[in-house]
Amino acid sequence: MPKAEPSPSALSALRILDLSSGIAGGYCTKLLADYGAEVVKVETPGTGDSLRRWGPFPQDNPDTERGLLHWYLNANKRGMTLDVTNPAGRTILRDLLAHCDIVVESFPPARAAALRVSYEALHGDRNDLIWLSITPFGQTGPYADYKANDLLIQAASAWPYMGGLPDREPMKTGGFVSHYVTGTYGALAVLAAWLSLRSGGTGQHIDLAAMEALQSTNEYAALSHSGPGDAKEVRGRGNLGVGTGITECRDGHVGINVLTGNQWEMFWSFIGRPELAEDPRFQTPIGRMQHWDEVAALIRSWAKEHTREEIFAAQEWRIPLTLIARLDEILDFPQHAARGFFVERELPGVGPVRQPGAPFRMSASPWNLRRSAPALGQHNADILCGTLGMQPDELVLLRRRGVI
Amino acid sequence: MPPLLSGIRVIDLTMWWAGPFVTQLLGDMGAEIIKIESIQVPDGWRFTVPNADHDKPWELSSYYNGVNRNKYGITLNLQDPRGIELCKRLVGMGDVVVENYTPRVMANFGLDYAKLRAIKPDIIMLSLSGYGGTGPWRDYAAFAFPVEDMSGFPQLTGYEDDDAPRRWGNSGVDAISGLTGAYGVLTALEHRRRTGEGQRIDLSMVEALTSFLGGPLLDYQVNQRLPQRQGNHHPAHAPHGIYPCKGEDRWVSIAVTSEEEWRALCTTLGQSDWLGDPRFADPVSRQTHQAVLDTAIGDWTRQHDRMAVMHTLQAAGVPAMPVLSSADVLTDPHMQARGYFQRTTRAEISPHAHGLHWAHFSETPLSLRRPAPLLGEHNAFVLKELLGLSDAELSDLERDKVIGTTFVGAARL
Repeated sequence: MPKAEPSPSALSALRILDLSSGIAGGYCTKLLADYGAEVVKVETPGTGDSLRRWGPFPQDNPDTERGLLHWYLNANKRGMTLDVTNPAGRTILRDLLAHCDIVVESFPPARAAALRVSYEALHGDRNDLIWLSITPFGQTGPYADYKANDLLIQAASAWPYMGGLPDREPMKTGGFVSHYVTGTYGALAVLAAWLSLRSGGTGQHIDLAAMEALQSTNEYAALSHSGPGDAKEVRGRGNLGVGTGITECRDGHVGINVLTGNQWEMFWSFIGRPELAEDPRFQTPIGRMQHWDEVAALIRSWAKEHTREEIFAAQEWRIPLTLIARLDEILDFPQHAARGFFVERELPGVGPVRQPGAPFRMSASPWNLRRSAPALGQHNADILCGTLGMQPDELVLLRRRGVI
Repeated sequence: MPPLLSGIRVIDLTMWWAGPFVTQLLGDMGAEIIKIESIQVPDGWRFTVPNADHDKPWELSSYYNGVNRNKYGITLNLQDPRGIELCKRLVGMGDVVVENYTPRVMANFGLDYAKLRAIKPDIIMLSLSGYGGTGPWRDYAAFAFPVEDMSGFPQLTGYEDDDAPRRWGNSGVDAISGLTGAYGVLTALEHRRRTGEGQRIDLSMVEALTSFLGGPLLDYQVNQRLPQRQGNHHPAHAPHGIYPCKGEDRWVSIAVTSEEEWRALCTTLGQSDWLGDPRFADPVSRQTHQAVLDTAIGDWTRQHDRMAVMHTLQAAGVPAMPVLSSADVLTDPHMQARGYFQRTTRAEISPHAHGLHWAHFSETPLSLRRPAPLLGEHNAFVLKELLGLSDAELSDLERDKVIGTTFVGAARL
């Protein structure tokens, strides 16, 4: 790929070949691309990244060029097609490797080995190539060939065990969160390997297992056998637990988060019951835990009488009561407006829409949206002719043979 | 080969989980982390063991000990000008500063970015807060749960049949924010490598989390549709859920995501009549009738051990995975085979395991070099070796409680 022209973007020296499919790989290379990396996304001819088929779609009209998840995750990337199951495709892949620093892929390990598109098969004599493999369970171990999606990865990482209610089935977290966490770890790992390479190190193979990545964000596993001071894992904490949880109010739901002694004192005043600050049942953490049913009943009945807005006003008193934010109101939060968190883009056929902008703000090398998600094979000529020096009529042949 | 972040020094002023998670990841990758607490105000996460019968209960917290591995620990009273001066001198020798105070605090200490940059022009400073360093909500109290509430995630989490948004059940929001922050630090290090410039990173936890919800946010704007809570079901695939297994509170997750997997499930469960049943002929109709499927699948899984269900179904090509507890993960055969956990010992607590390998690097593996520091454990090492203070100077500082190793509020615990 041609080197990027000079820009303030932090990662413009990174050239990434993205062979991955799905949310984890997509979010990983999105994070890298959004801060300046050059990403070429390689998709299967005809069908493309599975993300394209998932939607949601405008008016639920399936159109692999208009999937909203694809449009969000694959912006800032150029796109080409290549059938890596075809030997001619693999030859082109090997040629492409000479023009990149980093490969990201999400093949099941057995399939990568069988197709000879694994790190072992392809890195050749390049000791400066960084290769990230993203899988549910990793390249090794008894589950390495097992299939999994977000629900199963969460299940393996002890997330649903703590979600939901203790007397019902465990409950997963929504939003396909395991894939986004895995993708973020992918970006972190790739960039760390890059920094190491550029300070006199070598390339390497990074084996990222979603189960291990997600497990590391759940604080309880390693802690449950530390001896005195053990953190206690609790089954099904989706209810209003001691000082924290979600409760219904007059016009929806709010979050109750009252933890410190100071906050409890403010809270009792806020709800018009200052005398409860002196109530011996509620004065200590142990007391509040033992009498939690009574406290919870007080909170629930008070909340039922008040609106979300009235309850959220507690923030002015430094009491962390929150809205259980709906997606429509999030778009209009004054905090997001003041910080310009949402950025506007023109969605073809729809009009202007707002999407999340920078997940963090950098003062010298900011997040930047440079180009829209590619149409399938949009940059085939750019890359095959421009970078690899092929002739246009070669592309015609390759297309006819289904290689691109 | 030296570790990934060999030679990088981080001055760590963070507390609780989100901020320290940033520096845990950087430390796991080989950066030198100097964690600064004070004996007046130690890291709040040390105090999760009330009423412990121990003279140093602030050393017993599993939470603190989990996230603060791979860090040197010193104490500096930042309310004392000498503490501030020593902190500034450390910044002068550092590459990165990480803090997660509410936005005014660093300015009040005289440690805001402008001041730190005057000391070290290429310093990288990460400030992590609930809602960001600017804006009308910047002083709102924030930690994992309020941020989770405001991110939109509870609206997507909950049982299908009870119309209640639910919490995740863990404090993952803190870890995810910290993970995002660590990525931000590396991005700044790369910018510095190419340009010599440092910079300031302003991370809002709620922005980091909301970035995961681009899909649903676009769906709302384009289709005027708010997400429905579906429990463990999936918008496109069925059957898909969590089913009871043999034994007390034992569950397995099963996800059928293709026609091939559907046929394999039917065969394995001995339900060949499902294959011809029009109610289950395609994904859409299976979605419509998934209550029937869920009941039947549950009747089957209830007769079997959860691990057996997983092995049997996976062998047939059907995705299945037990719902593990954290205690289960510690002894899971796959995690054991992968060597994910590493055991260590530390003063005041039992030997314990750390989840170490969040990624496996073939040339520069992550490492666990030291357990979480005792309060002020490395005062002498850092202040004498790095800053060249004498024993007499250390004594004076200790006498005046600028540094120390015992929480000054010990009597109150």
